Amino acid sequence: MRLNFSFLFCLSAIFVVQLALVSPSVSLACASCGSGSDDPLILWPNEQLKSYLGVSTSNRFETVDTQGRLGRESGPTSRDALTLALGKALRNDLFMTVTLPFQQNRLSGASLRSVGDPLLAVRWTWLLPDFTAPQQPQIQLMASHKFAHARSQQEVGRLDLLDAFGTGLPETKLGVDVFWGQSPIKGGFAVGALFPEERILGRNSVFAGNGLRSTATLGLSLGGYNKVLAGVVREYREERRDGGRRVAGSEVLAHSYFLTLDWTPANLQTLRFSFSDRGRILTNKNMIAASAFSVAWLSTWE
Amino acid sequence: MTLNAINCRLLSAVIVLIGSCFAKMEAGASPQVASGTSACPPMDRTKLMRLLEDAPEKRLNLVFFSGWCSDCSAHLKKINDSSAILVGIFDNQARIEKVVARMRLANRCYTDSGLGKLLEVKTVPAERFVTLDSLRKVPR
Repeated sequence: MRLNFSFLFCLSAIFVVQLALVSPSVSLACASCGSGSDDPLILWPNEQLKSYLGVSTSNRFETVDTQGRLGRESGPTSRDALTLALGKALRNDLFMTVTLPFQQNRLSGASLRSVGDPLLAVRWTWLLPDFTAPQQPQIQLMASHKFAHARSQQEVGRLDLLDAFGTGLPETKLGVDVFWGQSPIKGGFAVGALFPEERILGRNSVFAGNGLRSTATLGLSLGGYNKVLAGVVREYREERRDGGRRVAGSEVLAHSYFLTLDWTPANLQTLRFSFSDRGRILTNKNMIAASAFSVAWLSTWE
Repeated sequence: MTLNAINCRLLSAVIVLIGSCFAKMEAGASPQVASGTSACPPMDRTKLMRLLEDAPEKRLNLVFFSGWCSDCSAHLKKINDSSAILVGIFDNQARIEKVVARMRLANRCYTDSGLGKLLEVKTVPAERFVTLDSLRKVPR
């Protein structure tokens, strides 16, 4: 895994600045706070404004064909990203987040940077957990929209795909996130229906196919206010349509797993380490396998 | 824009609207009873001043908690000061009263009505020792 100097510098700067802003207090953040890990930023009823600053690096890109066979990917060998997200509570039970990634693709010493696809998400907490009834989960309804800002593989000008940073298709997600977080052993699941929009990319209209993304999460409180979460994500998409015609055998099936460690070094501050590996467990089809590692600082401002 | 895209945007809007309605109904369902007659009536600065004036040593320990916070359970169970006052915060009155009833806590209980902001309570559980003097010094 490779993190270049600028990203390490950013990470150090974030760490120092955030640490300097930590205010001393006798109270501590709630250890039950967590979710199905479907979105990076979750606001709890006591939080009004929260930020997420993360750096990540992805590599080990490999194509997975229709038969599930792994092959060499012809595009970039690694991608670094700096992700900024801001969450604002609209009410105690309703919040919205805006996420903006800045990405850098690398291939054989060459690299290109671009702003990735911004994401706007809204979550409404339909049912809050209750510590006198730990069997009662938290239930959130989620809706998000990803804007297609970055160039896709169909729109790039380079043969090595170094300038491809997105799918090129705007996409809306609607779903539900259920989480049991009141006990030392935590768990939950999230299911989201994916609705991409049809767009003209290159010379053809492209529709990626509706999809379903399911996440199962299991977590463990590590004492104090720290926890570890592990989970499996399954993403399925119907057959793609190119120029209005269904492309036989083009449905996508992708399985990935993730491991996340949340460490709360100070009040209202969380440091999150995550590792994920996509396309290398269970059955996969028509996708790109990749491994990713990220470090993020979550900070509650109000 | 395809019909599919329009449908999913409409669905998003409907979900947010329905959510808002349900949440308002839930908030409205909290008992709005006069102070003193409900289990955990709202408490603001004025009411805290009155409680402090009546307190034997003119000081009080306020324990802030929420029904959704798992750490609050252990914290509330550890309270051995019968004069400590429980203040439910970041939660609605009905849920706070339910939690206190289920835990069979004998302490006096209130629902936050601006005190949290005044005493800079940002997370739960949290404790604040207040005296008449210290409260007078806190800017309104």
